[in-house]
Amino acid sequence: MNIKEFDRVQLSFQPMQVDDEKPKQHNLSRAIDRSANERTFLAWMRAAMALMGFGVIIIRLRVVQMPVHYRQAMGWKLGLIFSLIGWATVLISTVHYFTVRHQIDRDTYNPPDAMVLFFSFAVGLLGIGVIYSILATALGPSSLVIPD
Amino acid sequence: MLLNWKSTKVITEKIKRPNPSRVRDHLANERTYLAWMRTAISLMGFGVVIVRLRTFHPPLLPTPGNGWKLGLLFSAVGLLTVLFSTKHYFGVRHDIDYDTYEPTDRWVILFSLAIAILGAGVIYYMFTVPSSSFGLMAPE
Repeated sequence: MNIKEFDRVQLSFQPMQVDDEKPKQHNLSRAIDRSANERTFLAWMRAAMALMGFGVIIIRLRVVQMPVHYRQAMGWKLGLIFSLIGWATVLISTVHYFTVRHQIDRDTYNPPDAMVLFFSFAVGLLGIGVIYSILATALGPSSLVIPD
Repeated sequence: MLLNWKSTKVITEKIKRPNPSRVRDHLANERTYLAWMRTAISLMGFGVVIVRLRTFHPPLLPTPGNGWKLGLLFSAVGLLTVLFSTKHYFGVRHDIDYDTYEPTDRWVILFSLAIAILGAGVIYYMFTVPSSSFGLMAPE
C-alpha cells in the first residue's frame, strides 16, 4: 500500500473498510495511536531542526571571529556535520512515520531499535567531535594542528 | 540492556494481545527519548557557542582563557546525556513489553544536579569575565 492510498483513506470521512467488522473501541484506540505517531514524528522533526539550527549558528559564529587566525580549522566542518545529521534525520523519520502508520493499521507495530541506535551513534560522534574541537581550539595551534 | 533488543522483538509477538495501549506507550517512550536527545544536542551546541563567543572577547589576547572549560563541561554533559538516554530508552522499552514499567526519579535528579552545576559555572563565569576585560587584559 502506498502513501497516496493512505492519504485517501484518512482524508475521506467514512470509516475504513478494515474497521467494519471490528468494535468501535478499537477504532478509537487506533485514532489515538495515530496521533501519538504524529507527535512522535514532530518530535523527530524538532530534533532535526535543533541539529540544523546549531549547525547554522556554529558556522555563523565563525564569521564573527575572523581575525583570530588559528581557530578557523574545524568550525565550518562541525556546523556542516550538525546540519547533515539533521537533514538525514528529516528523511529517515519521514519514512519511519509512514512505516509506523502502516504498522498501526495492520497491528504489527514494533518499536524502533536500529533507528534509535543510529541516531544516538550519530549524535554521540558529534559530541566527540565537539569535545575534540574545543580541546583543539583551547590547546592552541602548537599542540594540535588541524589543516583546513 | 543496550544490546539485547533482538530478544525483546521476539517476545512482543506473544505479549501484544493483553496491553491495548502498547503502541501508544512505545511511541511516548520514543518521544521521551527524543526530548532527552534534544536536550543533549542543545547542551553540545551551547558548548560550542560558549567557546566561539569567548574567542572574540579579548581580541588581542592569544591565550583562550577559561571559557573553553565551561564549553567542554557543557559538551561532556551533553555526550553523557546521549548515552544515558539511549540506555534508558531500551530499558523502558523492555519494561513496556513486559508490563513492568515503573517511573524512576534517578535520571531526573542526576540531570538537574548536572544542569545546576553548569548554571553555577555560567554565573561564576559571568562574574569573572567583565573584571578581566575592564582590567585591560589581565590573564585569568
